[in-house]
Amino acid sequence: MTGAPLFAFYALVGAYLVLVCGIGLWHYRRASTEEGFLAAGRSLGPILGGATLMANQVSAGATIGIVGFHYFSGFSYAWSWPLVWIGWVVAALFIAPRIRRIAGLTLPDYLEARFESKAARAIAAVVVLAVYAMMLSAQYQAGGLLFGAISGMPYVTAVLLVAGITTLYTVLGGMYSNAYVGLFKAVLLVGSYAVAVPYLLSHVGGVHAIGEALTALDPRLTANWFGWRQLLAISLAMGLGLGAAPYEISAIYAMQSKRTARLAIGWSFLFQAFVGIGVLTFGLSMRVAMPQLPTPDLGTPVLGMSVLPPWIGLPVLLAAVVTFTRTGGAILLTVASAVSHDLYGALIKPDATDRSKVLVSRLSVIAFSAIPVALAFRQFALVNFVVIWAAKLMVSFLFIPVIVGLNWKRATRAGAVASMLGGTAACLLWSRYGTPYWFGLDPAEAGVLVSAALMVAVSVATRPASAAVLETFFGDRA
Amino acid sequence: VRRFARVAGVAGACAATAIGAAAQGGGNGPAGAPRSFARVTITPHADGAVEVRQRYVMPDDTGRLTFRVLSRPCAIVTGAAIVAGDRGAALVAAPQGPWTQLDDTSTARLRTDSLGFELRYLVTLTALDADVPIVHLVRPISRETGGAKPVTVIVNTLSVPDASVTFPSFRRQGKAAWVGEFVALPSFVHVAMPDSRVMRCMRPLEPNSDGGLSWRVVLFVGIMVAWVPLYLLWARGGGGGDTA
Repeated sequence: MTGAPLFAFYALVGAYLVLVCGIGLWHYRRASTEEGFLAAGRSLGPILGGATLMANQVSAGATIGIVGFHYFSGFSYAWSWPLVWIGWVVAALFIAPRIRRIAGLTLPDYLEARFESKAARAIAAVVVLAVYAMMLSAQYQAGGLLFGAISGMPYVTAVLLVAGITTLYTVLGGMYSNAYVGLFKAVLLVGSYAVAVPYLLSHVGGVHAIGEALTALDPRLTANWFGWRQLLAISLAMGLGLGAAPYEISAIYAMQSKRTARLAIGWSFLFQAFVGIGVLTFGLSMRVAMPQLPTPDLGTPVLGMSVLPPWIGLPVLLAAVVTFTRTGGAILLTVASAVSHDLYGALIKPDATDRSKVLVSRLSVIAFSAIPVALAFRQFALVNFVVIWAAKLMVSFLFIPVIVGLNWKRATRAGAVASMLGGTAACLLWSRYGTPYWFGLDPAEAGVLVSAALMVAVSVATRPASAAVLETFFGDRA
Repeated sequence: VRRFARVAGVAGACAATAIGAAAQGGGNGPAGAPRSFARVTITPHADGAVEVRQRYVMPDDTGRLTFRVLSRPCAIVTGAAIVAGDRGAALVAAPQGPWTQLDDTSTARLRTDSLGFELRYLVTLTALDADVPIVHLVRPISRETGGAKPVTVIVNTLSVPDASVTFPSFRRQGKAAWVGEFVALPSFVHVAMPDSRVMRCMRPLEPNSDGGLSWRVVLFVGIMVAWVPLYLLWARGGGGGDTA
């Protein structure tokens, strides 16, 4: 991209930066308490909450990575959207209403309250830091590719720029900033995709013409490149993992009520539907319109800068920029809460003031952003593969302690710790040594199964939780 | 605030050091001019004939030359041949659904070094609002993912001054040319000719199987469209208590 379109792209990104910094500064004072910074004062309504949930989920893994997935593997990955939604329904039924029974701020808050264990809190905080470094590196990698492709900027510089933007607005605004930028992201994604999809389809010749072209290249592109087992495994990891993901739990804590949380999940479905249909169309159309890209992850950048006319392409590119900076912000915020709230405030200095915890939050955002930047420089795999791998680790670690802990009275502290450590170890070992996968099980499935087995076996063999904990979480179940 | 700024400054310096160290170990170099490139010149005429010339230079490429072209309605590609130095060879066509594969079956190897080669063919448009198919190699011209754009496509509209290129994204250069720069060759460009509204393309391509994509897309979109209101109805009606 050169000349006026490149200038317009920079102007749009600059305007976006001004907007997010403005939102951040506007809320800076409101975000001066820990509840304000990490949970937006529990003020989010259903639409803003839905936008926040969607904006956390729809990362660069979607707007850049899934477009790349559709580009190289065709249609079948689209089924992961409705399958992932099953995970959200599980969250709406079994997680969101119950986790709001304590006025927590983070997922480790819940783990400590439910299992009366500071060890569970500490383990969760450390694993969250490790997995989210990986997840954040995918956002920076996507950003680096996009800025590099558009402007000719070196990849390393582009990654640093993206990291800088993300860190800046997270430091300024915390969850308030994240929520309002999430709404902006939702509007931008829906608006730009609603225009780009019909335009692209009309020029490429429609769905049938795309199908003819792709089938002739490889019949798997229009049928099942990914088999049902693979799709189920990926979707299980993504969907169930999202329902129990620390940044989504933090967003649920930021909502006004349990009912708001359920409605917000519905609104997030609406936003996700636009994104799902959009990225599918983009990936398949690009494979027909420009079949030999150097890497599939360039699908969205090339679509925005070289295929669509600037008045459609620039909003699509800006939506991608907003996507990876906003999801990066949510991840950084979760990291900040893990450090300041779960490690510093709860374990290192329990008498810390609200003010000092917010300061530690902001400092940890700045310090932590260096690790994923270093990972992003290496470009380990396609963006969406990095996201999927992080999701598999997270679901193996957290899903069972969250869902079983909230819905089974007999779950105990020892069971939870064994479940977290065993699930993570099983996922890692299965990935390392189980190729092709033993018994046809994906590492995420193995991790969840081992985690569940350990939770049940160890809980049954150990002393039940105290009456006070059971009253808090199961008070309505006599 | 001063204390915050001081500590943040230290943390930022540490972060920058770590980033710098990591950058030493990995990352791409600055984007320079592409070593491999293709330059495509498309010259449409008022009678619907379109000449296409593609110059390829790929110094690092040693693979066999295989091309592919996507059929578009009301556009016929003929006479595809490659020329390198004093050697010329027609390409052998093999249809694959809406694509046609074009192979250089001659035994003499073409040079893809800094001298490069040229691919020439003619497209005949039977309507004035048709797409012009672009023949492309079945592998990327360059593996670079930075800002370098190894493909330049020039549509020379001297013979049809009012023509414009509407897909993909081109920019006008002077009065008689449209230029597009890409990381890979597009499979077609749409040149809007004068009077194209009068001579619209009415002849569809021979139908081929879409591999079930249409019904899959309908089912997928249907699930998405139905799911949202159903879920919201449930959440509104049975959303449980309203306490935090």
